[in-house]
Amino acid sequence: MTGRRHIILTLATGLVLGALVHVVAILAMPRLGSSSAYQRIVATSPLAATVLFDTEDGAVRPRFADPTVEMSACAFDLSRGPYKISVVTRDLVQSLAIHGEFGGVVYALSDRSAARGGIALTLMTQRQLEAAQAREEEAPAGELRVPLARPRGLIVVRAHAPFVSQREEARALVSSLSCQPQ
Amino acid sequence: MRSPIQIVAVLAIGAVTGLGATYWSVSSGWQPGVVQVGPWAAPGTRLGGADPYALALVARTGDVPLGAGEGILFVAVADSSGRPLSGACTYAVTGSIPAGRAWTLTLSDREHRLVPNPSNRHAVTSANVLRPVSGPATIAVASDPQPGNWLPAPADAPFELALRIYDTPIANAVSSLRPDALPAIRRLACR
Repeated sequence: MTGRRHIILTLATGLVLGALVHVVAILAMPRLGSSSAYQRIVATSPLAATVLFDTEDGAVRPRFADPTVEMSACAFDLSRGPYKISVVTRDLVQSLAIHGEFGGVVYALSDRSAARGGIALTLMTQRQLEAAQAREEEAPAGELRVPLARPRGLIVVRAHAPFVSQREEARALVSSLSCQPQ
Repeated sequence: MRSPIQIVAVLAIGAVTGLGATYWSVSSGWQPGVVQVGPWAAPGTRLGGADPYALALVARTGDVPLGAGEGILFVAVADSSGRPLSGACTYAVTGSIPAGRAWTLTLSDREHRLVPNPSNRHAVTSANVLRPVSGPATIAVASDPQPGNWLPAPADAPFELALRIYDTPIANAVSSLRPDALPAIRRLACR
């Protein structure tokens, strides 16, 4: 091969390798850091504890935090067993989301999915779900079983209080978030 | 057969371009998953874990973005003509907002933080917006008090507007929104 073809081939192979390196680096980045919301919360609070967010201060502050929305979260780790999650819902617009250990929303639902004044979920790993099904345990009526691919993450709950007079109620609703390891 | 020099060259080019591209995309905050609807941008975080660049940003900043089942966030850093938003100017945000159970419009500085103001007004929401007899509501954004719906802006400083629509079907169909589906941001006058 001529010298120029050598150079072009080397460059092309190098660029392809560069693209691969870039893809791997971007995909690996979340797992290499320690500053995801989950990691910040478990650094300062025990698992399953309900943590209230402050829109201005605090270790966890969402970008573009909505001043009319109260938020709370709890960290879970399913390695020892499933978690039962519940939150009270009333007349404010509320939502619940499951975030992964390294960021990213896994599930999200609004209080329109609520039954009997609340949202109730059981978080399980696929293994735990199969074990429960093998034991022929039925999920209680109104409770959603959510199989998760990854054992660790955050439950984040929001309540929208457009009027200042509703702020107290919104705080009470997000404080009602309960995460119980089973 | 490749010579050792070629192998070293390939590895070096791979490392430099790969890591360089990673560093550049992370530090510049490049987000290919962003969808632009007029002056409003929907971040790639709405895709959950599907956008690796948005995910890398979320992991670094400790963000807790809205899931599609909760709602959608739009951010504007410029008006409908593309001029950066500045507290030296007065703006009118006018137009219908897609259906959802609630929406909020807030103003923040370029670090995404709320800006303190003497009136302590930080949001206009679907619950407290004043609507005219017919047509969509108009929200004035200016550093001086304005009649009607007014969102205070920092005098002479750049700012961003954030529009969040909660519990809305459009959260899963943002790329099919027409540019006029969201309000226009019209610049009225500048100092």
